[in-house]
Amino acid sequence: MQGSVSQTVAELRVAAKELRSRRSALITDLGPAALQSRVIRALASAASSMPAAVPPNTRFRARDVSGSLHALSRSLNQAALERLLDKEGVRGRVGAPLIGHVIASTTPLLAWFSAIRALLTCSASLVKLPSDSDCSRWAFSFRDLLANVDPGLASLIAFASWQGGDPELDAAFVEHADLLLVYGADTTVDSYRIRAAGKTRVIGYGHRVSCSVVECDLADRMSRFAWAIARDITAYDQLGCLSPQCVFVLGDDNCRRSFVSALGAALDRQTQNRRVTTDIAAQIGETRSMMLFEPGVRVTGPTDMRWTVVEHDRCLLHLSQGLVVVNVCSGERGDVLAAIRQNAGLIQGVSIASRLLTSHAFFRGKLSIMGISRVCAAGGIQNPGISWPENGIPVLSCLL
Amino acid sequence: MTKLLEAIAQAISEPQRENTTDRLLVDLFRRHLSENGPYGTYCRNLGATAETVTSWRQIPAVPAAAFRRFDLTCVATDRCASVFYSSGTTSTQSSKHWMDADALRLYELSLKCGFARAIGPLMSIVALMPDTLEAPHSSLSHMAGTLGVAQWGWGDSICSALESAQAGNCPVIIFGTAFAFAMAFQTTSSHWILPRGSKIIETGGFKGRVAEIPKPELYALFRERFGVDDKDCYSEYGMCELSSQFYSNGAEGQLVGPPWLRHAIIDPRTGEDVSAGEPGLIRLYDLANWNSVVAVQTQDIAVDAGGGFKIIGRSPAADVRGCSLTAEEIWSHRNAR
Repeated sequence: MQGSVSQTVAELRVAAKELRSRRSALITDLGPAALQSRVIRALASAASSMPAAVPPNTRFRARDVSGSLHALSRSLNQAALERLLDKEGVRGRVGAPLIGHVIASTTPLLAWFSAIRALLTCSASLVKLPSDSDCSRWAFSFRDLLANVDPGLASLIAFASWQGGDPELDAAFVEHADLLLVYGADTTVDSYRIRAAGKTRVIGYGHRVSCSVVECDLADRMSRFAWAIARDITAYDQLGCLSPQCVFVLGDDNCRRSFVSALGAALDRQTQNRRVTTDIAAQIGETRSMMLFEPGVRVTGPTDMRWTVVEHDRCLLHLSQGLVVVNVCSGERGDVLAAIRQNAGLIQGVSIASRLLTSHAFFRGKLSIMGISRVCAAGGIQNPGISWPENGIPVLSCLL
Repeated sequence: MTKLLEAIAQAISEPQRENTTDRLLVDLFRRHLSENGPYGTYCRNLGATAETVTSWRQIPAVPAAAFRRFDLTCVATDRCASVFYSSGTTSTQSSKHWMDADALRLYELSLKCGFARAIGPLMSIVALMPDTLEAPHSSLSHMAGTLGVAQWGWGDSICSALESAQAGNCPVIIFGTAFAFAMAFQTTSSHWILPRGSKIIETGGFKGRVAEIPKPELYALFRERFGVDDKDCYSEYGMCELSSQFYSNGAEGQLVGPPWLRHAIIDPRTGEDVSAGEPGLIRLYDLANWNSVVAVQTQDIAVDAGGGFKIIGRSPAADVRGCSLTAEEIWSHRNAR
């Protein structure tokens, strides 16, 4: 039961009108607090029935999606919500009546996260789906799950879809929304800002990358750290903004080499079932080759391109284009922090692997000062909770 | 002139004399390894040395994209006589192929010899592309200019040249990008019966930027609008990163290069040759690339066709680029004025 998807200007107009009217009715009936409680209950129920909702032939691993969804659900309880409402000063307030969401195709749950935030501010959502049909199926599955447990809430979410660059539909979408949340490339965000200038407020979630820091340790612990970081890397084909593209190893060249070896082994096991298409293999092959123009670079990985580790001599934030291509370099704490600080505006999250709680605390403190919105233990970077201020933007108050 | 350069020039101008291409490709690789800084780094990181590379198939290929990011040249760029840029969308950086005076001479020798082998003797050329003054960094315009163009033109500006050829019974070669031909057919409704022996050479494809005309339809238009039969129509496959070209004859013909231009079709999932008849990425080895690199890995998808190959597409991850865009960009720019 996927419901209808608006594909014409007339359908968009009707969908927007219906969403506004349903939202008014629900707020009148319930009020913000009761509506928020229903969202919490519905999400918990939807998360527990997620396995039944995995779309067929999806390229995303159910384990990754399930981990992200359960983390979101666990983080959203009444007490946590109260804290968030107070922290952001939005208790008793409602958001923009109709929020337009422009969803990127990098991760499957973007539509879920974005629409849940909107529901928590009692806003209706008109979601423009990505052209990637896999991501669209995940969005449908969310609404279907929600409709099973709370049809009223599900009726506040509608979908729209058209190939990008249709001026008439783009204009209608901008016109009908009171606020736009745009996820994707910086160019996509900019194009919506230009289109919406003077008409509709736009909040952009543009291009960000993530990295990991691992503290040199005994061989068996390095293997465990490597396994956890490999989990962060391989989730969603390393295409999300929380996917580490560079791993900093604290220590000397020997530490780096032993970590590279452990990471290669972990990636190899975790990507056993990854099938790389010819087109993607061509892209990864080109990425591997381009990396080799930098002095002192070593590339390792299987010929079938399931994973690639690029080892660098210089301690810098080295970027890849995702697709399980990860850079590794080493340095002392000061070198690593300098490399991160230099690119802090670009970094979404950092996952840390260390047995020392003091190291976690040290990096958490330093990286928070740099404005990095997500710092967590390795293995869990893809599972943020509801209170995560993506791109440093408040979760709920920005929707008012 | 160094001995190597002399030997390569001889291999290009007299390929039938002795088959030296295999050895010369390796010798040229060694020159690039020691004198082309970025390529030397690339090879060192790959573990490829003068000792380990003993046959042309072992020469490390650089992705065509590397020409965008690096100056792949054996001499300083300020000592180069020419640089050719790929076209490409305005949002992407162009490839740069630097050539010193020796490289430029070898390029011109190669393109003339390759043209003579594939197309035959030179005759009056009408070039549907910007001239070398308007596009000094276009390798396609340089190629046409080197062959000798009687008339450069666009759209209906070629009409007078074709009318003269028809009236004087002088065969001509019309050489242009597929996009330029499409524009010419749009802007003029004229038909010609060009003299026997006239030829058409199209290149560059459409690169996904305009409504594409399938090749058989394009060749049918050549027959209908110019009166030139399929057997006298050719496709050229070249790129700014190369100094030699492949040609095919007729709508169904396969692309064949001269003896000094080799190719391989690679499975990107193994890095090895594809099985016979399977599609893969085309990798090129050009003995005329004196100043840059011998081996270039493209993102064009091809299938082997017994001695030659057919291009069947382009990896979707690759940028839209190619000679057609120069024509298209200039066309758009002019229309915007």
